[in-house]
Amino acid sequence: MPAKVRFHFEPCLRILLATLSAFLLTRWSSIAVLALPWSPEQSVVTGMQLGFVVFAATVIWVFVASSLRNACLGLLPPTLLLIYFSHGAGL
Amino acid sequence: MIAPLGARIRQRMAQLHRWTGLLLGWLLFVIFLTGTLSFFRQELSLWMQPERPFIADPVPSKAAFEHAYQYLRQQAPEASHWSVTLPDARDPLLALSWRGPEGRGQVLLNPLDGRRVEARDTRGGDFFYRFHFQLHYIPVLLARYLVGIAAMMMLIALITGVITHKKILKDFFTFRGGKGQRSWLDAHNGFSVLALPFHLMITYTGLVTLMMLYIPWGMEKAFPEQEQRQHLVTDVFAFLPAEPRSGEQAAMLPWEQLLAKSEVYWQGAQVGRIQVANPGDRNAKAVLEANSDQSDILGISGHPPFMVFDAVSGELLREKVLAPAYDSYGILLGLHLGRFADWPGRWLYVLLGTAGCCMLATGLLLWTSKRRKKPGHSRAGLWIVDRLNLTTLAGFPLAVVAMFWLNRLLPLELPGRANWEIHGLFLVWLAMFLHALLRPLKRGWYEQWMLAGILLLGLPVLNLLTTDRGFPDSLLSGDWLFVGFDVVLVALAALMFRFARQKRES
Repeated sequence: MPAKVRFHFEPCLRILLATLSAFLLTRWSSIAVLALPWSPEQSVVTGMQLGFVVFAATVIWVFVASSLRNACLGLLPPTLLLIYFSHGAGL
Repeated sequence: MIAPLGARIRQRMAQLHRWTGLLLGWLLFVIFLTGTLSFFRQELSLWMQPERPFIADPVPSKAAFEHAYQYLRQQAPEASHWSVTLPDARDPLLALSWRGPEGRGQVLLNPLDGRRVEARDTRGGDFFYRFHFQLHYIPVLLARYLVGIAAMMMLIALITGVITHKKILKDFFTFRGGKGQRSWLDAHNGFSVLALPFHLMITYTGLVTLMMLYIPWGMEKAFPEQEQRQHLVTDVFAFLPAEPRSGEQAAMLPWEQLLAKSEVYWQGAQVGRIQVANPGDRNAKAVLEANSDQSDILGISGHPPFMVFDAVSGELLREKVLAPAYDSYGILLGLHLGRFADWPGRWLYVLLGTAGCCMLATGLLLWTSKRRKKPGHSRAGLWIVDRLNLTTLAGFPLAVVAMFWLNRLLPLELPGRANWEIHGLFLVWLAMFLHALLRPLKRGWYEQWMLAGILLLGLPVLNLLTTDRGFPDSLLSGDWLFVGFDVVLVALAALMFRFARQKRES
């Protein structure tokens, strides 16, 4: 019985983590690009084009990772990096 | 150690692929089908308005502009916004539209004599174009978000589909026919891998066309003021924001002078569209956009050069900024719209789009085919997926053909005629859904394919009876659009009958 509950529980958590982290990383990346040494218009439009790649890559990473813990660990560096640069852009 | 890990990753990727595919496959099929039809947007509009005169030679833009200007000055002097689309190789008529305090209007003019063309009230190919990114009957913004989520899932399903494949090239050259699930899998692989670069490109670039809606946060941070954002929107979309009128009348410079300036700057590229905000006012502004069909001069970009003028003094206020991010956006947009494509290119787009529809269809059929074999699987889930597959894969194309029938059959003076064509499509689709629920599955497939085939085969006949542009006439006058339409309809009918026969024999 516990094994069966776990079986359904884990994919649900992965879906939740994938959606949430992909949304947040896309959001932060679209702001972090403002730290690029270009005009703000160019950075904004670059961020928009890259955002979809960030989203897809994040979702896939969460499902590639061998466990939920590893998925979170892997998300940590890009998250910190993007938050750092978003802050630099005047967050 | 590495191999089992790889296998586990592939398994999880397969799971993600299966569920994103199943949940959004039906919506994506409908989006892909209407999007594929949109590559023939102008041609569908021409076919759906058979009253439009057949004009063999395009008209020089200057004369056409003068007709447009005179018409708008007389009929819509109070409008806040005018838009004129010039004739080109794909659409020989002048299309005018305006909006303002008194509402909106649009009209088609013959560019030769400036006279109004009376044609039946229909949305034409524009319906499919609009539907493929904002659906129908639901609020535009909500629909665009829904389509965006579906497109994102599609992008993820494509990438996970590739990772799932161990032997992508070998699978591509394998087809085992007549073997149920195995055949569906081979067909699915074939359609997916054959056109994989296209599928990835069209999905990603589709998201990019609405990027300002989906990823607005950078823009909001960098430009907190509404006015600053408007400048960006103008730069990216050549869109003129509404500005208040000054209330002071002023004569506008003849458009010919603005045209002359643009032609110098654009190395001879033709103007495709002119928009005027606040015409006849001291604040009047005009945007001239090059026609993005001219790939010999402009390349494949879907973001053609444009210029914003003070329409009274003729001063150049703003023009397309040449910058890497805008250029790459233009190329992505151009790849999605395919407007640069000539006839063989456009057909290639349509064939690849059709491969996308087939990929989605075979993927959905594979899902049920796999589960039918497993004894423990929930029958109720399978039953409903089977019925939704039938409704979407056979019922929706059938409803599209029914719309073409209504285009020819609905009385011309019917109020709200254009909307009734669309209501008709959805009513027929609803009927197909009920039919799918009530009939045994195999009979259901057979009957819907047969009906679709009969409707397709009947269309050239209906066209012959209800218009003066039937097959013999159009063949004699060299009206290749109408000839081509009939040929394609008959070929599609043959395909539907083949599908139907397969269902009866199996």
